[in-house]
Amino acid sequence: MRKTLILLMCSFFALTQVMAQNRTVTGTITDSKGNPVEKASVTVKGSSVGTSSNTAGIFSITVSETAKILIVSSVDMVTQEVPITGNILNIVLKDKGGNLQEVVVTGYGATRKRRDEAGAITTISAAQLENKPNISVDKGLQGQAAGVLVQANNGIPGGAINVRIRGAGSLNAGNSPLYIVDGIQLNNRDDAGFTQSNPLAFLNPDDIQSLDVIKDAASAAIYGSNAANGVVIITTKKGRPGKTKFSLNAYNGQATILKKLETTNSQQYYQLRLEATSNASSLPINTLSSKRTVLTELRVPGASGFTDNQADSAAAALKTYDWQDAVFRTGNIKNYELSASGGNEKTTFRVSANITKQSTTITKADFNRAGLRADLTNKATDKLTIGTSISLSTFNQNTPFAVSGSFLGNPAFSAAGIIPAFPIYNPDGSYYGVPGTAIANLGGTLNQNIVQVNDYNSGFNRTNQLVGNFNLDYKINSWLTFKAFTGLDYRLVQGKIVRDARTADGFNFKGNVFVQSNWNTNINTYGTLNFIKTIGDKHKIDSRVGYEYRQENNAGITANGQGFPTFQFTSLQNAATPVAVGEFFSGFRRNAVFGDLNYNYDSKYIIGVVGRYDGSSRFGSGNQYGLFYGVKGAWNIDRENFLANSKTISALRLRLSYGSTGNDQIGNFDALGLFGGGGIYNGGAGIAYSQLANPNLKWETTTLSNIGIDLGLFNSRANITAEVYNKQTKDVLINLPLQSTTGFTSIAYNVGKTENRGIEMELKGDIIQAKRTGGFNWNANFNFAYNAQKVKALYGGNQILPGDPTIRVGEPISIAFTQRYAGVNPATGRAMWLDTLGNLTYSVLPKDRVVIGPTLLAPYYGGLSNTFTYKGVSLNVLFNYEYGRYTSDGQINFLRESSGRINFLTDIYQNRWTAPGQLTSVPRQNLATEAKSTGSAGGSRTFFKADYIRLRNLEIAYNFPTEAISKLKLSNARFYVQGTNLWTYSDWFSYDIEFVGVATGIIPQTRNITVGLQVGF
Amino acid sequence: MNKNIFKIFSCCFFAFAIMSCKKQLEIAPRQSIDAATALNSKDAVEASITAIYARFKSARLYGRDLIAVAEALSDNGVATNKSGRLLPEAQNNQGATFTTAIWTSGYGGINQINLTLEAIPKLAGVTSVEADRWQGQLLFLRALSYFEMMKAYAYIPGAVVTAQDRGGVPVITKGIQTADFALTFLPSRPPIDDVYKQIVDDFTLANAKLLNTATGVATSLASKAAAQAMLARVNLYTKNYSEAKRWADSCITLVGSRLSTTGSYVAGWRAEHHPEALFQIRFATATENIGVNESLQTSYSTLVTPGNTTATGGFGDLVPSITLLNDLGIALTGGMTIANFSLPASIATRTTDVRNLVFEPGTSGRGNAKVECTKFLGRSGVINLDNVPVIRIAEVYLIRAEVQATAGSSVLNLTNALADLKAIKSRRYTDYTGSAQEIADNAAPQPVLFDEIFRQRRIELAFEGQRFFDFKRLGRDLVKAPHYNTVAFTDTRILAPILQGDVDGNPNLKQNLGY
Repeated sequence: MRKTLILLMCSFFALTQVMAQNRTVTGTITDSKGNPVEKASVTVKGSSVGTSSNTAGIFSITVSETAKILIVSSVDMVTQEVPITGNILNIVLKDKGGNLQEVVVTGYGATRKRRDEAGAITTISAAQLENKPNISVDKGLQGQAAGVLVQANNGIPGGAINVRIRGAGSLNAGNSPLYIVDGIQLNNRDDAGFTQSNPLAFLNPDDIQSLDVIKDAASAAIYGSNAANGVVIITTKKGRPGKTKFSLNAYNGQATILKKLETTNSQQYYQLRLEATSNASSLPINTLSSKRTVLTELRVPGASGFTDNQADSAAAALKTYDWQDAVFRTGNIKNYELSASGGNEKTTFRVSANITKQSTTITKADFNRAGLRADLTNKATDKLTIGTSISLSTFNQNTPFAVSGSFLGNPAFSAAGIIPAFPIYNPDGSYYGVPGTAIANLGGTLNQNIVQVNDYNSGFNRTNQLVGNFNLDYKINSWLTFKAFTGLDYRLVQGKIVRDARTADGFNFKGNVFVQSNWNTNINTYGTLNFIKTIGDKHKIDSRVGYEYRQENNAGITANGQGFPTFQFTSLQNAATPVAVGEFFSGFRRNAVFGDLNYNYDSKYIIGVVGRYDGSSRFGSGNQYGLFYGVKGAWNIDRENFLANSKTISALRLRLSYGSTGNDQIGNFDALGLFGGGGIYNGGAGIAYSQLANPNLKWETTTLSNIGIDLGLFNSRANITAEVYNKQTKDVLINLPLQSTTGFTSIAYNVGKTENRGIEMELKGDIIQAKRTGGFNWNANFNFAYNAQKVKALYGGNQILPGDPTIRVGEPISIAFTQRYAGVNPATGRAMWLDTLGNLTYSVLPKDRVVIGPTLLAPYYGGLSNTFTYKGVSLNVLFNYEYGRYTSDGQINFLRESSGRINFLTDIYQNRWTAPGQLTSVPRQNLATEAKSTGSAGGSRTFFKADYIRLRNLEIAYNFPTEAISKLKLSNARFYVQGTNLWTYSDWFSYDIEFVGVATGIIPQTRNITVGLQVGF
Repeated sequence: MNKNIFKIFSCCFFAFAIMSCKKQLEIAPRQSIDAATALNSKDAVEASITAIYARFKSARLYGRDLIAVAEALSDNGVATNKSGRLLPEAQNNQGATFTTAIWTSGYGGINQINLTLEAIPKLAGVTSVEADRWQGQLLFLRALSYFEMMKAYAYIPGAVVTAQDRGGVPVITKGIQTADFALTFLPSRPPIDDVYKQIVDDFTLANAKLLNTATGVATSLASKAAAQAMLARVNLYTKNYSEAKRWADSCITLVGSRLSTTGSYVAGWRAEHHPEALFQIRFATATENIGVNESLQTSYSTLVTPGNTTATGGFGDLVPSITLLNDLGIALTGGMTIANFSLPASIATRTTDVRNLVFEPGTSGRGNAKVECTKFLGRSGVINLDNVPVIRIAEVYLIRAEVQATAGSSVLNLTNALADLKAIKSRRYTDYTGSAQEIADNAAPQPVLFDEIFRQRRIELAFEGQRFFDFKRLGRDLVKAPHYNTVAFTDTRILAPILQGDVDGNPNLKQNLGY
């Protein structure tokens, strides 16, 4: 719309001058992101006639009839020769250094051109985040930013995402970055008691203009104690002066399962169980009594009196029921957004609304959000600008019986494990094996009819969230500004779980209902005095001092009731027995003074220092305050004369930084010695010594040195950013294990040092550049990160943490430390192990544990994004990868047991040991653990490499031609089809490799296909 | 105008900013109180004692393991694999035994006991009656904690595989409340006898301080009678037979006749508070319910109410073995064989022993019905909610009988032993008086009498968590035929592992052999 306006204006100019001898050419100059380029010089080739663009990028030049070509140039831009094809020209200048013209956000409302920034900051633009079916923006970062490892915990829509910037330094304190949305420091708590929710789930990713990841400590040090894990600054879209623009965006799609597990059918299960039963009693496999026992377990009528033949034909006649098919469904994805933005020179605004509904492949997990946003900025006077940004959001997450864990009623856990001979429904269509009927359960350990459990049970968490700020800028004079800011992040999370009276977990209680209500008030306010002055032509100084205060109060109530009149009643009001009530309160306080000073000489030499003195209520009374600081510098080498005219090197920068930041992400009262609730007994309430005081508890401090190089080649056709960092964390916060004979199992403590060192590389290139507009373009962006993490020191000279041998000097922080599985003894079919000396044994001890490898953080990770455009069509392909970590999949571990208490993976059937001499790694089946044996359920047998490459996102989009849509009074229209997780390179054999922690019973990731339309008018 | 607003705003802001920075950081927890002053009132001492009792309710302690795991490990229990629970324990699989929660919970409680004992003398206005009542309970609970740990993790005096003896458990009798001390505290395992001496001393002092002889709901708290009964049991374990007899005598005199009769026996197991209990762990309210997975009711039985096989409740994971059924006087239809045992259970005959009436076929709701123990069947009025007797008067009689019938006992007296045996048997067999059994008992020589007392102990205390330790204290091999393989007394599986984390972090602390 705005462009149209400008065009109209330009046409008007053109018309008024058409009578003149010379003609007038007008136009707008923008950068590749559509931002106006001011002070660009426009000259006529072969003459001295010239002008420059204004702040809106608009120029007007009078040229002779014969003039053919304009030369357009600007600092840091690739000079362009533009044929004069008409009276109105739209010129797009390419950034010489790739993205050096882009604005980076550096904290507390400050921005700076990348050209003038010395830190390591990665900016993700709206285009990289938009329209992807992600509930929260963190998921959209996967593979997009070098050095930012993004791992989804599971596939719960709106569930937790682990974001780790440059590894992780802490042993027990949080390793999540600080998230700031429009200046508001979010709390990163998850208060959803019955499912998982993500602190960023309130915000529609399509409302985000840019996301800046601050990776180096000197840049992050302005946030001091909160910033040891990096800072993610999210800036939402704002209005611009001009006619009100509307944007409507809708996408719809489906989510399907990535994989079904291959499990044994009833005959295969029967065979394995038969072997297990006979082996447990040292009987030949085909002993009739074993057959009878197994068939009786499988509820074959009269099995206990069967003859051999009867038993065999009964086994052959067993039906197989596919519980996975019964549980998995196709999920739906729906998203609708409408925004309006505009304003005038005094006031700008943007309002937006969105509705998002996503359901996943497991009933009833879903996510339903309605959100409203309003941004308003008003220039009250020449000096005073006020603004506000408010986001109101409500999202409801329905939840299945459980979202993780080996609960019998958890559909994601049990679907593959229920013994397949048990039907889902009775012949009359009613549920088979449910309480209160003749057959009250299924056989085997997974004895709940999960289809019934999931149909009848209900549960949800609903989050109502307000995130808003009020900000004020007062220009005291041309070089001094006072900024005041107050932000509020208010959250009310309510939830309810109903264990229906007809289901196994509610039957004996006549219904069991839990409710929770949790409210969290997080206020953060600061004031800064900002100084910006250019002295002479070349000396630019900017500086600020500020004060900040942040507080968070978290409180909640819970209640549980049992004994409902009928299953239709689920309100606690109707409960006969109020079982339990709970209430809690927690909170923290922080305050700080901070300041920085930056000096820039002619955009050639840049230096900055920063300091922050920061206090947190979480630490011991004498150690609440810490000092954090940073210094950084950059040398824009390309500004030196010797490179000024280089044809090869279009940009070259060297950046150095060193700084310190803190981490206080521990429990709010971890430093205190406390007596808390000690249970109840005999009608009285007890108190128990719950926590030992550590008055010396203090900050964990991280120092990070960073060297970065930005290189642009061939007029920025290829751009490389490389960073090397060394991140040292000391006074690491840990729940230090104590001898439990002290009466305590651990104490919050500062111990030792950890190290994360790594390199990051970002390569961007226009592999194929179209000769003319609309031609074929291929643009690729590859990022790579390597992070080596290790524990450097503990305390008292210990090489292994007393009480926790998985924490070892020289090793990464989270490691698989376990015994080595050595396969199956071909003679006996029994699982073998290696002891410390490397000898084969049936039984291993804790002393035989060895380090297998890192389990949490992949040392190698990154992504590759390719964009192809031709005319109005674009194709975007994004891959991400992880390499080098190990993990264990609890879901699979259950399905690989040797006893048949639940169903098996087909792999176990195919590879189990059955005859002497057979070489295999799957031991013989046995109900019992083999005598004097460690068994085969643990150790290195359960750890596998978790490497993968995933086609994270594929989008085909078509931008309708302007001429066509202008008839419909539209300014732009875009149609797109997207696929998420379409392809994965991984030999992971469970539902999916993408999870953090144990995968037992988690809701897996899904494959999503969405179709969308975006129109502007 | 705007300038004024700005001035007001900035003044407010800076006023706020220069407020005492330190003060801004003040925030206190609300569900907890400062440990340094937590025990400074009478109410706090009461609440502290309450919390120590509450610890014993854990499913890892009296809530299940100390009772049901002990039965699974012994020759009494057979696992049905209905939920999969207790199967590894019944098979005596490596590592399937008592957990380290007895250790961690025990020491957590012991430190609080020590601190509370230290706090009592500092309180103003405490009467000696109050102080004795508190101290008596605290000492009782400390002794009980050490005793349960010793049962799980150490050998019992007089039944030690010397080459595998790594000692008892660290004895701590002083409160720990500073990080500096806690961080450098690296105790070792003292000799077994030292720990038992501590246990006896604590129970003895508890006996001196406690005055009450509790009945009914009052047995939920420690009493003089409970202390004496426990002293009888501990001394039976340590083979101080004269002491065991002395305390049993004293206890029986103190309590009077509390033994159930053949007429009241079953009702005793249906009452909320077992009339024979001298000390029980009480589970009173719905919040204290351990639930359908791990309660004693679900562990032992599929039944919701006695005799009603149409309503399925729990899992019935552990059922009596064939040898226990034999001792109980229950015969299965078709004979007492493994093959018959695996079929849906049906009882052919019962003897006149009333104790077998708390064993009956369960439901078929979780697979084949088995004969199940119904001692724990929601006696507190709700399914899965049962008070757990820790020691009953019947056991005190059996202890007194055993110590006087044990070969080489300093208080060997077959007449007295026989009298106690008959005190029990006449109240358990409806036709005992004048029966062939009585005649045989009257004529029994020492070994026969001892065996009969030991057999009666098995029947009387079946599924109450005693059998495994009765084998262990006598150094006997666990013969689990025909269900499972024998576990020799010298097998390392007789002892449970102590907390590996503590071993990892303390070179002075030795893990039991085999772990």
